[in-house]
Amino acid sequence: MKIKAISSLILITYISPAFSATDIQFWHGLSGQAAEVIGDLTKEFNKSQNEYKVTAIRKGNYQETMIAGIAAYRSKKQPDIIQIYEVGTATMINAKGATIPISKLMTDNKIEFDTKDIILPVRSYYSSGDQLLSFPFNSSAPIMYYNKNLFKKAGLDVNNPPKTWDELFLYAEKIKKSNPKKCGFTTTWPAWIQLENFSAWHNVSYASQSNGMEGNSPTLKFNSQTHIKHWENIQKAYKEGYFTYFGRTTEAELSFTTEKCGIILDSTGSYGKVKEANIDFAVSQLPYYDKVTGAPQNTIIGGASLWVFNGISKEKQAGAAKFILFLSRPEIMSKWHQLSGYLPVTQTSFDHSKKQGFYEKNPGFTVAISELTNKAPSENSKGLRIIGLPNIRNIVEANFESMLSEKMTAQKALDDAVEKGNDIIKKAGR
Amino acid sequence: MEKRAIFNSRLFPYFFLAPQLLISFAFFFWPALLAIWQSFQKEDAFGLSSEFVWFENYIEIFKDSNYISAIFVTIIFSISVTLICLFFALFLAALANRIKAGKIFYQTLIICPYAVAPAIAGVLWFFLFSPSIGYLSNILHNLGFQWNPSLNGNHALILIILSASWKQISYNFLFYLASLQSIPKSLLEAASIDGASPVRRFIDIVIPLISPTTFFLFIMNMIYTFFDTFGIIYTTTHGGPGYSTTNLVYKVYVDGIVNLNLGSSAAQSVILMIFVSFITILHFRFVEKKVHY
Repeated sequence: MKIKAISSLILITYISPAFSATDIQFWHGLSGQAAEVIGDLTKEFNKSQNEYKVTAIRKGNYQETMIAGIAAYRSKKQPDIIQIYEVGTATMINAKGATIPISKLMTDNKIEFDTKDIILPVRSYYSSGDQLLSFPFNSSAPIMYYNKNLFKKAGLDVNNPPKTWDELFLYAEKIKKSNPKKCGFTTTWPAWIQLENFSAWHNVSYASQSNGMEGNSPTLKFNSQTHIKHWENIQKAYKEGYFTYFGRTTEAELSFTTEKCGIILDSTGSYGKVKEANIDFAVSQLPYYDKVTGAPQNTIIGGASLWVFNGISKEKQAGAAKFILFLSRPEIMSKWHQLSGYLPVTQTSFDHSKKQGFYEKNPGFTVAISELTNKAPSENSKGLRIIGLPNIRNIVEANFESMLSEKMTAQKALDDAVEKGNDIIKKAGR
Repeated sequence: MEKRAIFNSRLFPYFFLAPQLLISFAFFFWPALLAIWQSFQKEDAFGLSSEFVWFENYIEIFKDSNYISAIFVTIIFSISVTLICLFFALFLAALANRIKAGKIFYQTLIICPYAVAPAIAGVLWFFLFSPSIGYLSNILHNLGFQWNPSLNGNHALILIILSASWKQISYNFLFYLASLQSIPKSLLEAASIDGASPVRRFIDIVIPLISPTTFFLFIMNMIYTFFDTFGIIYTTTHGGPGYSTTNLVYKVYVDGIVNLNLGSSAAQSVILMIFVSFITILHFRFVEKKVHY
């Protein structure tokens, strides 16, 4: 029996093709449907040619993927391609020599790659000058989801979602009043949506030097009157019961998909998940304060991008370049966009989806795109590139919680986060 | 007749010790040494540049108000979990020891939670008490109690104490049951002939006799709450709200993995290492002498 098994094993080894395809390791931090789609896309790439074989490996969530990549790099066993979330961007840029910029990778391998095809707010986030540093594979933006059923019960017009924050607070209050067991509105990712994107959307500064995009010693500035006022309003809404808080990441989603909350501010990346819940919902653009001049400006992206590590063989570099080129093809990018809910980051993939009639059937998908491209990005809305941003986010989240539980005022919460955050930037920058 | 193993070669004992020493070296001493070395360094995440900074990482830790709060959280958390575990495990073990019918059935049920991984235990309790969908939190809400571990620090702390204890009670139970069973029947019988009530017998005979077990479990529970509870905190509260459930080991994780401040994270683990070695030595030195074996 044993001998048979061993000999058949040997046989299998011999039968497999004589030439060996170059193996490309691709680490990512996605889960659920998005991870499945990634698996399908790599399979499609592997079938399309026989020189390279890409293996997509899930390394946990974004944070875990990043630390795994860093640990692997330190022990010189780095993967070839790695997905890094947007808050890790500054860390990656600062690690000079650890990665190969995508633009350089493409010219080195004589591949024509049109970086201009990537829509401006996304391209500028991941570029240094004209050079594209990483490939923005999955970008998302925050939007507003609302439950039509709960709107109807509260006597609200389902075709007329709140446009401004004042309206939103009013709507949330009505939902709460119509049924005290429900929650008016909630948010996922408070640091990303209620501070980072809030700043860009209202064209107020998050940090100096264009939020760190034009220099590496930015000073945080997110304790302006506009910010404080907004956090105070949220605190008041929480106190009066029409805002409910669930957690720092995606915890609040469950409350929307189980029809507990009327309104949620959440990422486009969750669109697929919400749709699966089979509830009667619609999406709309983020609310803004109409008294703030210049609002709404444009949102900034979340999500992640693909980086190619330095120190890998020439062959692997060529393979990584070809794989990224493959992912950027309009039909592949729009397939990814339609299945996962992430943004179509290239103009051609957007056009491709449009031509297929996708947006007529799924109008919700255009909201995020129109938010991102609402206006030409200003110095407050190009993006964030701040060393230690993950750390700063932690502080912001903790202070947001302390503010809601009235351990500190909105002013104190933001002042304290600015002070501690500036300290982190100073230490990291030296 | 002398009962002694005689080795002809002086090298022989070392040979037998070698596997254990090798394993200890590879999985404990070497990483510990690296951590100590790292704790004196200031380094970027990728290890592209590093600088020897002497005790700067340590000084910064103690200037950090969040670290001080983590110490308090750790103390409250560890003591509560240890006491809850010891008390309930002893209570359950005493009951299970007396029961006549279905003993195995009860024992197995009580031991079950120990087989559950910390992360799973965390998720379980998270779902039970989650304000959005939790079964128990719905009951609490209907009773008019505003249960909200995602914003109320005390609620969050209670939540992780409950889930950490729930898991560890089984372990304590197992040891207590074994030690209760090993108490000589004759002692208890003699006491009851003398007219001691079951409660008296329990306090005067059983508790002193199982004190070595209590002492052992006390240390094990402390070490458990210091190091093994990361999974529970990670899955239930993420150290929040604010910093109210960030204990020392969770802070090591946040500073190392999330904030990529490897020097500070290493310095914190060195402090933890010293602290745990210290309480272990302290106990074996002083408390053990007072324990009746």
